[in-house]
Amino acid sequence: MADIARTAPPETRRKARPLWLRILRNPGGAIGAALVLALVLSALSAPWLAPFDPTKMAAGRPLTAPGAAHLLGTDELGRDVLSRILFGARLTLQIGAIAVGISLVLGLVTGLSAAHFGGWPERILMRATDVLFSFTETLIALAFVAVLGPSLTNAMVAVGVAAVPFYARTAYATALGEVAKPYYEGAIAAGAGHMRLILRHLLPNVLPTMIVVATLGLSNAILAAAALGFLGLGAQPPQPEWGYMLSAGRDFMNRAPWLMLYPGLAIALTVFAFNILGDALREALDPRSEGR
Amino acid sequence: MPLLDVTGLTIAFGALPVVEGLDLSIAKGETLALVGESGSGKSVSALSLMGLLPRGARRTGGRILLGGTDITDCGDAGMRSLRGPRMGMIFQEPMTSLTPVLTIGRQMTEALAVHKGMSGAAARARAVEMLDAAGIPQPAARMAQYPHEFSGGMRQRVMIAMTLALEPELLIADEPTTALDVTVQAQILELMRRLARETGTSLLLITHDMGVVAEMADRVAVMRRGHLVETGTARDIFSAPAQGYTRDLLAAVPRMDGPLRRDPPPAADRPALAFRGIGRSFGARGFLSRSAGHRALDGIDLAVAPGETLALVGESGSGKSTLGRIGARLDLSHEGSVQVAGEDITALRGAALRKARSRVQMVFQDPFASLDPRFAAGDTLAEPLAIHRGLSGRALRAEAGRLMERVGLSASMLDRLPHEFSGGQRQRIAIARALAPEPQVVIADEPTSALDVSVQASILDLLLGLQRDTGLAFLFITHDLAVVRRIAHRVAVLRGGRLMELGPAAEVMDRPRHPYTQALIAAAPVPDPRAARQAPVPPGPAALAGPLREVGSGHWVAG
Repeated sequence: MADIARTAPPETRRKARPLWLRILRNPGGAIGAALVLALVLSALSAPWLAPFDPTKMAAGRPLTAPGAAHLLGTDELGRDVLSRILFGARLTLQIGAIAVGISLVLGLVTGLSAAHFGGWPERILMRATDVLFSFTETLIALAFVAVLGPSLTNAMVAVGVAAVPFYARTAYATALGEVAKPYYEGAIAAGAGHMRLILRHLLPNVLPTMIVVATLGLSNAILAAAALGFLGLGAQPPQPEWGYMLSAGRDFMNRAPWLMLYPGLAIALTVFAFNILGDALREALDPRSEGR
Repeated sequence: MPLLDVTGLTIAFGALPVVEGLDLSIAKGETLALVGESGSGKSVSALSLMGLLPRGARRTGGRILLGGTDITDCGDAGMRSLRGPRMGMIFQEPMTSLTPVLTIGRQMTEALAVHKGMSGAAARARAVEMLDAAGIPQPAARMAQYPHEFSGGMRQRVMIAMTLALEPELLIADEPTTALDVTVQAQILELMRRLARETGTSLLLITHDMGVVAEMADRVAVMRRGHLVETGTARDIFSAPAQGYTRDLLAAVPRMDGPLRRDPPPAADRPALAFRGIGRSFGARGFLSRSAGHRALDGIDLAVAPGETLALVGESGSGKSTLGRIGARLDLSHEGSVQVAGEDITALRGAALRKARSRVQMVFQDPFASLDPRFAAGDTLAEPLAIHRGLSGRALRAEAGRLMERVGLSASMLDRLPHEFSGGQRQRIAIARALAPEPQVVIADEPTSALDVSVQASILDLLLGLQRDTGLAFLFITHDLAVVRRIAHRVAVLRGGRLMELGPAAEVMDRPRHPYTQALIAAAPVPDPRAARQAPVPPGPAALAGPLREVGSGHWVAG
C-alpha cells in the first residue's frame, strides 16, 4: 500500500494564470472591473465629458428637473448635476481610496503585530484599539479634523484613521486563527524570523479577508467623508463631492428628488462595483481556485 | 424482513458520484458496521438515510425502506417525523453536537415533548431515567447543567441517552468514539452495546477503526470509493476476507498483539534531547489573581538517545503535546530545562534560538493545517534550506527535490500547492520540512492520527527507514498503543502532567506495572471479533502519582 503516496499524477503543475486573468474569468470580477474602469475613466475625462463647469452657478434655472438641457437636472444654485457627479467622481474615489488605504495599512500593522508577537505588544495594541473602538468613528474623525484643521485632505486622513480599530480588530482576529495553525509553528521551527513570518506567512493568509473588509469599508469611508463635508469639515463648497451633494440635496428632497437620487445612485454603483471586484479578487487569491 | 433495506443508493456532489449503487440491510436488533477510509462515502451514505445530505450533494437514485415502508421521497416534513422516534443519529464530535446555550434537561425534554407528546413531568422522569441508564452520576442534578459542564465522554453519553430516549428502531452512529480517549471509548462502546441490546435497537455504526468494528459488529460492510467492496458477518470478514482490499485494510491495522520493534537503538553517550524537571502551568495570572492555575506538567525528566524512538503516551489533557512543544521551544516551561545534544536551549533568544531550533524539528497531527496553503511544496522546503543551510538557486532546488524523493514523493511535485496533495502526501512534505535543517531530534505529535490506516502504515515505515538511515532521535507523541508497539524503543506514560511509567517498550506493553498503564492497554480495542470482550477497567483516580522508582532494568513506575 506504499504506492498510495504516488497516486497523484506525476506531471508538474500547469503554469499559474496571472492574477488579473483569473479575476476577469470570474463573471462578477469582469463586471466589477469594467464598472471600476468606467468610473475611473469618467473621473479622469470629466473635463471633456461634462457639459458644464461643475462650480458654475446658474448654468441653468435652479432646480430644473432632468431633461434635454440638463440630463440629470440642476441643483438649488442652478449648477448642472451631471457635471458635478462626473467631477465628483474624482474627489469621491480619491477619498475612498486614500481613507481605505490608511485604514488598511495601519489596521494590518496593528492587528498582525499584535497576533504575531502576543504578550505585552498584543495587550497594549489591542487595548488601545478597544479604547478607540468605544468612540464612534465620526467622533474620532471630528477630533482629528479639529486638530488638523478643516480641509479635504485632512478629512480623508481623519476618516481613514477613525476606521483603523475596525480593520485592526478584523486583521487581529483572522491572524489569531492563522497563528494557531501548525504551519505557522512549522515555519517558526524552520527558523523563519519575525518579518518573514508576518510578511510571507501571515499577510497572504489574512489579506483575502481584509480585501472583503476593505471593499465594504469603502462605502463607509465615502459616507463618513460626506458627513464631515456636511458639517463643513470635509470637501469645501463649491467642490463637487458625492457625499456632500447627497446631504445638501436632502433639503430639497420633496421638490427636487433628483438632487439626492443621482449622487446616491453614483455612490451605490461605486460601492457595488468595488464589492464584486473585491469578491472576485479574494477568490482569485485563494490558491484552491487556481486553474478553474 | 430487514428493518432497514437500502438498494442501489447513489449520491452525487454536483456531477461527481460519491456513492454508487450501495445495497445495505440491517435486521432488527442487529449491529452493522460500515467501514472504509476517508472519501469512501460511508458518512455521506448515513447522512442520506437521515435526509441530512450537505448542500451540493443529491441523492440521484436508489430506494430506502424502513420497516417495510418506502421513505425514499417522503419530503422534509416526512423525514422530520422519522428523525428521532424511528431513526436517531450520534455524531463524531461530542463537543459541538449539543446546543451550548440550553441545559441538558431542556434539550432532552424538548425532544420527548415534540416526538412523544410527553408532559413536562413525564418527560423529565424519562430523561433522568435515560441519563441514569447511560451511566451519568446524579442524573437529576445534572439535568440543570449546560453542555460545557460535561467532559467529552460525558457529552457523548448524554447524546446517546437523548437519542435512545425516543426509542428509535435504528440508531446511526457516525464515528461515535473517534474523538474520545481509549478508556472513555471502551466505556461508550460498552454503553451502546448494552443499551442496544436492552432496547432491541438496530445499530448502523460508521467507523474507520477495525478494533471498534471487531468489538461491536454482527455484520460488516466494507466501502471503497463509493462502492460496496464486500459484506458479511464480522467473523467471516476478519478471518476470511474475500476481497483483496479488505485483506489489505486488515493487514494495515496496527495491532495490540502485533510484534514489538526489535532493532535496538545505537549506543550513545549523551541524549539527543533531554527534559530536566519540566513544569508548566496554564491559566495562572500573577496580576490581580491568586489562582495557581492548572498544572499541565509537573517535574518531567525524560531523555531521548540518538537513533532512539521514545513514545510519549497519554490521553487528552495529559500534557503530552505541551511537553513536545516545550521540546521544540514552541512553548516555554516554567520550571526545568531542555537540552539538545547537551546544550541548554531553555533560555536562548534571537539568532541563537533560531540556530538551536534547527536541531529540533516538529511534525504535527493535522496534515491539512500544517502546510501554508499559499506555499508550494518547494517554497515550504526552501524556507529551512535557505535559513539554516544557506542554500539558494539551483542548489536549493536540487536539495528540495532530493528531500521530496527522500520522503517517497517526486521532485516534479515541487511546484504543487498543498491542496493538490492527499493527506498522506502532505504529511510526507511536513516530514521533509522537518528533515530539511538536518535536525538531531524530530518531535512527532500524533503524526498518523488523522490518516487512514493504509496511509498510516506507510508513514510509519517512512519514519522507521529515516531513523535507520540517519540516526535521528524521535519523540513520538501518540494515544495509539498499537502504533507504539511498531515504532517505539521505549515508552513513557503520562497522565495529568506526571509520568506514570517509563521503560523499554517490551516491558511496558507486555508487563505494565502501573494500574493506569494496565487500564490503557486493556481499553485498546483488538481488531479480532473472537477476542474476549473485557469489561472496561476505569482508569481510577489519579492515585499512585508519586516519584518514580525503578522496578526493573530501565523500567520506572510512579508509586
